[in-house]
Amino acid sequence: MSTWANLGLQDSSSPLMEQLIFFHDHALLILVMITVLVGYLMFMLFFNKYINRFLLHGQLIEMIWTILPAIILLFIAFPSLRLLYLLDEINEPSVTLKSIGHQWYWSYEYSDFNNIEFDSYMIPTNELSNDGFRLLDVDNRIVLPMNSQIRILVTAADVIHSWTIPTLGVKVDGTPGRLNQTNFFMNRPGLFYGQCSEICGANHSFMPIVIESVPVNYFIKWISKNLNS
Amino acid sequence: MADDAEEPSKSFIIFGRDIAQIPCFRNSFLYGISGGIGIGLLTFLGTSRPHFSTHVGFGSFFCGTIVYWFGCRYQWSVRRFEQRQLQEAMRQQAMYEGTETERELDLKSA
Repeated sequence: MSTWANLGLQDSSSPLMEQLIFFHDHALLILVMITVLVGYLMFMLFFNKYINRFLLHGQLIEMIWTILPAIILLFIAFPSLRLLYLLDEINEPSVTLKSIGHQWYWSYEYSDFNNIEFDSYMIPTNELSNDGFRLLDVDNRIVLPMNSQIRILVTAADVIHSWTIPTLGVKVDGTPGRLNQTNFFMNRPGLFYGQCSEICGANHSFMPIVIESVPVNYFIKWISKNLNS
Repeated sequence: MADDAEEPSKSFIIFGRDIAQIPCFRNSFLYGISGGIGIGLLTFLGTSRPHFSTHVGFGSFFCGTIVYWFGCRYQWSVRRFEQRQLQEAMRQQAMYEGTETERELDLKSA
């Protein structure tokens, strides 16, 4: 989860997010090297002893600064396209979760299991326990099994919201009248936090999302408990 | 015990990220910077032109870092994929051990 002064990506809890981080590192190194190159060229201007008023063209350098960026762009494009298609791969989800955005809370439905439904409100700061996370903790978390493909269908009841979990690399807009679908896979247990990512009114910043990733047997127990209650 | 003492791993944290843990990062910059300095110095020894040697040294650093990074990341990615395939195969083998499926697979591979 994010703490204050976090500038980088969160640690991944999903293989796809792991791949996104690898691609991010790759692209950022190329960008850093280009920035260092441009900085060096600008710095060397301080030591330029001559001004060539009669310079018309330089075929060799023009060839270099056309072909070299094209090659660098290829080295960015190929991994990017590979990842883009990897994110769209079809797989067989074992659990489907529906998420509906409201002003200003999320409601969830597990239609696979006799329609388990609940709302998830942020815990206000004045009701937060000492070990709670301000603006992030909710009263009812989404419980999902780890090491299983999860399908999520996101929509909204009033205005556009966006369901986000940075550590899983998931961000899906919830638009009224539309169902958006995505899949994700959690490869470790824990609590994963996210916040609404589309401006939706006064309390847009106060409708977080919390996933509790548990082993499959714990998930089944949780489902049974909710079916009986 | 003295034998169990491990070397402290190197870490270099910028903006909350330990960049020494990024695969191929440390080696790319080590080889790039040392190669740039080395080639720059050799060029200066050979030509006695400081400006030109600086340009050559920087160019070597730039090209060396980028080329090593691309090669290392590609090989790392291929190795990682093979590791995952092996892990999955071992998991499947553990799951099917002693079952009819394993006997059928052994017959097929024999």
